[in-house]
Amino acid sequence: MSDKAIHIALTFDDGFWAPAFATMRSIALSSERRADLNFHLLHKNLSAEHRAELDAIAEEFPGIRLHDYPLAEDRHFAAIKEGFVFKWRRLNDMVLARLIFDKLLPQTVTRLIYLDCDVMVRQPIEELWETDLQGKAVGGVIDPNRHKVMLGREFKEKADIFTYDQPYVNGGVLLIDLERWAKADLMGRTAAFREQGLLEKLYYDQDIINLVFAGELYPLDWRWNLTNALPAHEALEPFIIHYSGDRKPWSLIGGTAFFNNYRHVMTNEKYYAFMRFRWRRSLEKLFRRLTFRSARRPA
Amino acid sequence: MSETLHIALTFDDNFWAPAYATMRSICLASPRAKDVVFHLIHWHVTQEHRDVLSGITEEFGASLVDHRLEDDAELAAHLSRLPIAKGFSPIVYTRLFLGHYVPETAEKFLFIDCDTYVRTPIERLMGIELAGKALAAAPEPGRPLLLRGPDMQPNGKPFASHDGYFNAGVLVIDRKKFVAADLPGQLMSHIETGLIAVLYQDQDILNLAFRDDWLELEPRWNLTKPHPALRSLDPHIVHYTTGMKPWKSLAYVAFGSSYRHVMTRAIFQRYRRERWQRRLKRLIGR
Repeated sequence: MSDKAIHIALTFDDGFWAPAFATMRSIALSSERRADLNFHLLHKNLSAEHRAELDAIAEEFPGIRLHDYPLAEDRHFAAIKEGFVFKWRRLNDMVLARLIFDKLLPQTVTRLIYLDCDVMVRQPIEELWETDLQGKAVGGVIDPNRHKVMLGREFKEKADIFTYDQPYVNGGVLLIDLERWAKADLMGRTAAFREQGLLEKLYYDQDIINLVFAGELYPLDWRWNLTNALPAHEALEPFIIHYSGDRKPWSLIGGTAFFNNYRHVMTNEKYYAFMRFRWRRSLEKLFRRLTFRSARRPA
Repeated sequence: MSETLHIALTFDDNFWAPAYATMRSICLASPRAKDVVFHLIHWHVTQEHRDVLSGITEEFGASLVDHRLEDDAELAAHLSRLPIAKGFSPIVYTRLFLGHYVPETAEKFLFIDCDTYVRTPIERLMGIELAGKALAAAPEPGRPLLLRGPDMQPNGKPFASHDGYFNAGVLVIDRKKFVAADLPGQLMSHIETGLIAVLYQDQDILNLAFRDDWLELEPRWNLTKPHPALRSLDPHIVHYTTGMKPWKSLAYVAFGSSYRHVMTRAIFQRYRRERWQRRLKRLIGR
């Protein structure tokens, strides 16, 4: 990896193979430094077929490199996820992979951009990469919905953990000083939260990052992570669209910013392949549920 | 000793729960909640509802001072002479009388509507330097149709189409200058000349009285018509100015789900129940 390399990490499982592809392709399409792009792919249960689909990025944009970090057997990943319970369908333990970047990536990687896989990048990523963090450890966009996330129901539930006015970033787009990240010992701090019985109250890795790096967060321009992106936002020329709500641009129903663009970024071929994959998976799930029920029904 | 933060709210019994939510949002966001004195200028609020508002003192240590308008014969006489548009209560005109209710010890005070949700420490707003102006306010985005009438034609209002015009829902006020403007006197004069018939309630009167004497605030201090997309602007004060109120079912507004937790779910549900009961009673004619 050259000194000029731009390091970008994505974490995803097999259910997000096509959005991960679209995220990478959106970066490649908008960057003038494609040959410097290094994607670090932290994945779990990714089928060989879907992994092969991702290689299309390197074929279309020569010079781009993909680095794989399978997590299923990884001991750090097994350790970090211990004790977490996932209550919402749209989140699973993959979000915790962020906390072990320093354990997996080579030590030569000292700066890293992390992106969720439900984002579409529209601005050269090198502009984010070159942002001066002014001595802070992590750059992120202050989450407009932070108060409810930080403080919980009626803004009381987590009032012993966060204060209303402390900076709190959305974890979907992060610019990370990886040396400071490693020194912060996220695994150790997470273990301490586990011992204190706090894990159930915390909003997974996002809360942990905001707690551990309180005072070390650099606020990025909000356009680097436009959450809950709606069509009205298009006029504001956001840099990174983050489809963080329930509306996703790969669903048939629109209502998101740049809904039509997204399909062409993902490419129509992969868009429809992903749709077939999701429908097949839903049918299989339904079938399993039905057969499980009938198996349990008394004769 | 910390300086007291004087904040005035005006509401009637229909707005008791939103008044609670506005106060609670201010206290949640401010590390100086104990320094806040809320001047509750209210009109026929039941004792039962007033008791709920005391929860603000219990939870945050802020003080509540009551000004019961129904006991103020002079004001009641003024209000009875005013034209009230559909959907508004006579309470809207009490903004003009704030100088009567906020004590002289308050050099500066804040007036805030009860359909607001404050998300930033209020002392940041109240600490701004007024630069010799009588008040600070955010511009009203809908001003063209307020300054002029249909087709942007003159409609008898003493405004020019290019005049500045502020939204009166969030005002940082220099008390002395406000009192010196003698707004009750101006109101009486507008009634006598008949101008009151074309004015948009107290907001027009305030804009006439303080024309060129107000400091323009950044719009995020009074974000009106808060479409959900405006959430990304991370506004300081959200002002639910349209019929889409965050306490209504299916309201499509910014921070709608957070608002319910600011009001607290028990009060939110109680307020909804009361509104339904009231509507039902109206329907069956009781």
